[in-house]
Formats: sequence, C-alpha cells, structure tokens
Amino acid sequence: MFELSREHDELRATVRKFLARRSEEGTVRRLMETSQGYDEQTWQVMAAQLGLQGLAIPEEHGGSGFGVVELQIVMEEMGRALMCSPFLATVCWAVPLLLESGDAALAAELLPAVAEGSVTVAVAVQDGERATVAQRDDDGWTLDGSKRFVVDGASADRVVVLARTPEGPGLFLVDDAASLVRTAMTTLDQTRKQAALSFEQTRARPVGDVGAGQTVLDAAMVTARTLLAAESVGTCARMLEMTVNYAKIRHQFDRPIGSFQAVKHLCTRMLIDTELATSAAGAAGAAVDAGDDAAPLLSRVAAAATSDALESVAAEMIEIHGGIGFTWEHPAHLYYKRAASSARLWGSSSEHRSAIFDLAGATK
Amino acid sequence: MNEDLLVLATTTAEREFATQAVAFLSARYDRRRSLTANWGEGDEALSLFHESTDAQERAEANAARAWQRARWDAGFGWIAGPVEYGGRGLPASHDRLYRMIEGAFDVPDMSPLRIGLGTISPVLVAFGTPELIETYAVPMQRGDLIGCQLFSEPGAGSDLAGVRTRAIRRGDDWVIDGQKVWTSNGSFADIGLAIVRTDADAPKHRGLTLFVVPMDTPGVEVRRIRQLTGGHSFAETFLSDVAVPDSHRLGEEGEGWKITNRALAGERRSVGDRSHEMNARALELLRTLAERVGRSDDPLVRDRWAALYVSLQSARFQQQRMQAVPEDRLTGAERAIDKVVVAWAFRDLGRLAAELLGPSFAADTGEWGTFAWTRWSLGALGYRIAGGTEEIIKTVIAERVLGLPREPRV
Repeated sequence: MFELSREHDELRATVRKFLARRSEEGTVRRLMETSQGYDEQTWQVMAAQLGLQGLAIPEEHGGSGFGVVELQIVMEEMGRALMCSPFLATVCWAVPLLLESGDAALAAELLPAVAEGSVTVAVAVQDGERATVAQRDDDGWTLDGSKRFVVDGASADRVVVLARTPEGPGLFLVDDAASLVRTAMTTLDQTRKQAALSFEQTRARPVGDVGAGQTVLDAAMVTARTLLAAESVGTCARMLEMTVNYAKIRHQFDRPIGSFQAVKHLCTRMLIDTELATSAAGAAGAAVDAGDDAAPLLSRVAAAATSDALESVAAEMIEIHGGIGFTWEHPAHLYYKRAASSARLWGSSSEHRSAIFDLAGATK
Repeated sequence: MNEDLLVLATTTAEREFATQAVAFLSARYDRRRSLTANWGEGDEALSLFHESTDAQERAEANAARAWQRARWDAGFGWIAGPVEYGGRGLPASHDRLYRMIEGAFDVPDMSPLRIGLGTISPVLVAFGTPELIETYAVPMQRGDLIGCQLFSEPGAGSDLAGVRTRAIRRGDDWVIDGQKVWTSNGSFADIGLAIVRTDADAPKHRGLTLFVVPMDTPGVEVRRIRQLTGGHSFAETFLSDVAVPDSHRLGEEGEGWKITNRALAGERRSVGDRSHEMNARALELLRTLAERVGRSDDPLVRDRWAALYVSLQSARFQQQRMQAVPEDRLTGAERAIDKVVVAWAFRDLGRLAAELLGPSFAADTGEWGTFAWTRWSLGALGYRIAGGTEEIIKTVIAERVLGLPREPRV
C-alpha cells in the first residue's frame, strides 16, 4: 500500500524544484495581495511543461491517466510551498466532480482544456443569503440565488453550482463565470481566495443527471478530501521542518533552544502528528485508487487526522519560534493561517469524526 | 490457499523461501483466527500484560522451546544466523518475511524466547567469543536455553548507565554483587545478560561491562514482583557473591554501555501486529458497550470513540508505511512513534471504558465485559513506562530523527 516508486521520487523532486522557483516566499507574499490570487503564467507553464493539471485526468481526455496517489505527491509539495493557485478547486475538486457525474460530453469538452491549463473551474456548494434554485425553461436552465465560501470563485473561468431542483439537488455549470456578480471575501488565509457569488437568471447547463447532484458531490468529495489531506501533510511537514531548524540555531541561556527537553518534546509531538497524518492520507489515497469500499471512511480518517495535525503543529510552530513567530515579516503566520483555514475547509475534525462513527459502524 | 502469504515475497528467491515456509507451517498449524469481539464469549481478554502463575509460565516456556526446536530442525530456526554456527545465512529480509508469514498461523506464543532470540543471541554473535556463541547463542537458537536481561536496577531505570551492581576480579573469576529488577522470564530463564560496574573510578558510561550469567550459579536468587494489577509478569534478581568466569565476559572491560545500547535498539522496535489487533478488538467491544449502556447517540461518546478509531487506524498505517521503508533510510527511532501512540491508545481506550461503565468500573456487578476493563486501565499505566518511558522515547526521537542537539550531560 505504501510502495512509493522511483518515479514517485522523481515526480516529487521535479515539482519541488519548480515550486522553489515559482512559489518562493516573495512570490507567495506578492500573489496573496492580489485579487487574482495566482500567477497565470506559472499556471500555464505548470500545464505545458510539467503537465500537473492533467496528471490524473484520463488519457482519453487529454491527461496522463495517473491516480490520486500521484496527485497527492503534487499536493504535498504545493502544501509545503503554500502554492497560490486554483489547483485545489480546479484539479482536485471540479475534475473529480465532472468524472463522477458520468457526463461524458461535458468531460470531453472541459477536461482537455483543464489539462492544457486554459480553463479553471470552481465549485460552489454553500448557499449565501438566498438559497440557490435552478429552473427549467424552454432554452434549458437558469439559476437564482447566492453562494459563498467559493474557493477561487472570483478568478475561475467556470463554476459548477449545486442548486435545488424539483428532482432534488442538481449540479449545474456556469460557462461564463465572469458575468456573475462576484465579491471577494476577506480570508484568514490570504494565499487561498474565497468568493461570494450571486445568480440572477443565470444560464447554466446541467452536469450529469439532474437530481443526482448530492450523490455525485459526495463521491467527488472523497477524492477531493483525500487530496486536501495530502496538501495538509505537506504544510505540516514544512512547519515541522522550519521549527526544528529554528530550534537548532536559536540560542538562549548559551544553548540551542532545541537542546531543552521541553522544546524537544513539543517537536516530537509535532513529528508524531505529522507522521500519523501522512500515513492516514497515504492509506486514503491508495484506497481511492484501488476503488476500495473503505475509501469514504478512510478519506474521513485522513481528514480528521490532518485537520487536528494542522492545528496542533501550527500552534506549536508559533510557540517555538517565540516573538519572531508573532511578526508579519516571518513566514510562520502564512503557514498558520493556511493551517487554520484548511483544517475546517470541508468540515471540522469533529464533523469528520461524527461521520467516522457512522461509517465504521456500517462496515462491520 | 495461503496465496495471500506468498505475495509478501518480492524476489524469486524470496518466493521460493516463502513457499517452503508456508508448506512447513501449514502442515503443523491452522491459520490464526482474528480475535473476535463477540459479546459475552469466553475470557474478556482485557489484560495488557501477560500474567500467569509459575506453573502456567513454565508450560508456556516449554511450548515455545518445542516450537523453536521444530523451526530449527526445518531450517527456520536461525534464518539470518551465520552458517558456521548452524544458521542459514540468509538476508535479514528473509527473516522478516518468515515472521510475517508465521504471524498468520496459530503457532505457540514465542514471547518467552523473544529476549533470548531477539536481543541476547544477536549481541553474542556480534561481540562474543566463538566459545560463548557455541555455548549459549546456538542452544538459545535451538530452543534449549532461555535468556533474560539483567539490566535495570532499583536505582537505574531510564538512566541505565547508573547501574551500581558491581563485579570484582578474583583470579579467573568475576564476583558480582547487587540487585536487578524488571526481569522478564526471570523465574525460568537459564542465562542472564548482566550489565555491571567493573570500574568504579571510570566515568559513568565507561565503567560498565557485560557478562553472561548462568541463572543456576550459586548466589542468584529470583523473586517474582507483584504488579499493581495483582498479577505477576516480572521478577527481581538478587546477585550475592555470584562468581562468573572471565570467559563469560562479553566484549572488553568498559564496553558494556556501547553493547547494551545496541541490544536495546531491538527492544525499541515497533510494537507489532498483535497490539494493533488487541486495540481494534477493544474498540469494537467499546462500541457494543456504548450501545448496551444506551450511550451510542451521545455526541461525547461518539467523538471519543471516533478519535480512537482515527488514531488507531493512523498508527496501523504508520506501522505499515515504516515497514515499506528500507532499513538504511531509517534511524531506528521512527518505529518508536508506534510505541508511544499505542500506549496513548491503551490509556484512552481504558478511559472511554471507564466513562461508559460509571460505577461498574469501580465495583464488579459480575456482568461480562465490564469490571474486566479495570485490568486494561491498570495495565495501560505500565505501557507508558515499559520498554523506555514515553519521556525518554520522545527525547530519543527528537535527537535521532529530528537531529536536535543533545542535552548537556553531567
């Protein structure tokens, strides 16, 4: 289950090298102040030279046909580098959603464009002040209502929207996202943008069977959750690394602070949390690729383990950095904010645990 | 049948070896059935420490010896051992493969031999004279001798280098005086590996030497220790004017600390499948208990149960992930993570049981699967201590895995 090959090592090294040039701290700080939130040229190069957007897209749709395990390696590296990009929304969520919907025509139309880096897609699930409703007319479907907490919603070219229909929840694609009223939300984590969207008689196309929306969303969420878990593992690993490096060089009382047992034990706890989260995320990725019945449960285990690890590792990182970790100029707060935000992006750890209690009981 | 075990082999040579091992094992034992969590059946099996009477202990030791002899005769007794001493000289990966395969069969519990085969025999081969290897390591591998460690003392626990048991040279002999404690197998072991102080003037870590002590030597007295659980798993060993020939010295004088550290590296290995299986079963029992006491809709209980599920699954995946990492990429301390996490799970399972049981945790109503949890909770206290305390292990992990600087030593 945990056999990572030489090809995996090479993929990791390639992505790490790319991000070292394209997502170093200065770039992250520059991009997080922009409304776009990412560098389009980097996005293009990532598709053209590395093929990352299409890594796990089936070959028939212009991708390389690799699995979630490979995409997890990419996400770990992006989590380490706090990569500012719509990769999570587009590649990790919208793509699985399109594939799970079974809508072959739409997949054939959109996935090659995603793979070549020419289209980004956001997913809008949570309603804002107005419930989002889809209505059928002679020309197709229109949407009315509002959404919020839409990851990369302000910059996306297209948006997949969950809306009420007489047949039950349905998924709809808005092709011209730029025509929507889009409001950037002020986010705790500036490196990942969120937006509020509103729909007024907005033209939209159904994605898959209308009425199957929730089922498709739940299935895609298993993959998306597993990939976010991998990103979080990378974030934890980097936070641990920064902290340990600092504990080795920072001297107080004429000793490196890392030689004090109180500091050592905090670092060991960070390592344990990070290691367990890594194992849980890896097991979930392997289960998703194998089509294992336990994949939904294991994706929740990975989500719960990584959410808790993010919070505890991030907090101890700041603590061990001391005063410098409380400043804006040090990168620790960027990681802390990503951690605090990701830890509840798609449910808190106790919400995941509630699901685990039910799922683990059902598989008995 | 048993094809699931053959897939553990990766090379052609391993596959051939695995086929032989499966043939050997399947001719003698059935496949092991997993521990069941059926309510009300048999012993609750909630003791974390193996506790038995003298007679039971001897019977278990004899069963283990007999099985080791059968392994030896079939060529599976000393798989990675040197050929000149009767071992098979195969790579350590074959040994691991065999243990994984054997774990699937209902073989006798080998814990009485674990210290001898896992700790003492390897250091004898690495540091002992040919005579010591022939006299003690080979018979241990054949199942004829059982070994124990005479390491810890009342005054030397985590700070093992503080041992005060001393050996004084007298002619060709060394005369040992002192007291050892937490001796597993003490009451039936044939030989002990003792770390003692041979130079009171040398710095603490340099004045220690190792000796092989036959446990029937006059002056060796073993007394079982009663644990807070009420049962016995360990002994204390008193050494009074115990004369051991110089030929029983392992390594040079003053090398005892170095060799002991190497021996203990084996002890801090991961806890193994059995502990994970016990925890999984305990978790199942707690789920049923929650239903029986009407608490399975209680959000507090659900959350605590699921938190345990997450940490136990993660620890199990961690163990599997570490098994896939080549030895040369590990510092040896990574696997200690498993030990720490499993000890926490033991504790938290006991606490959840106590929460669900309420007064039935403190007083026995006679109902199956209730008061027995007290044995689990009490045993859990020992797991944060045994095999290196949690605090020491955290320090070791910080220094070896994370590379943090050592504390200044006195």
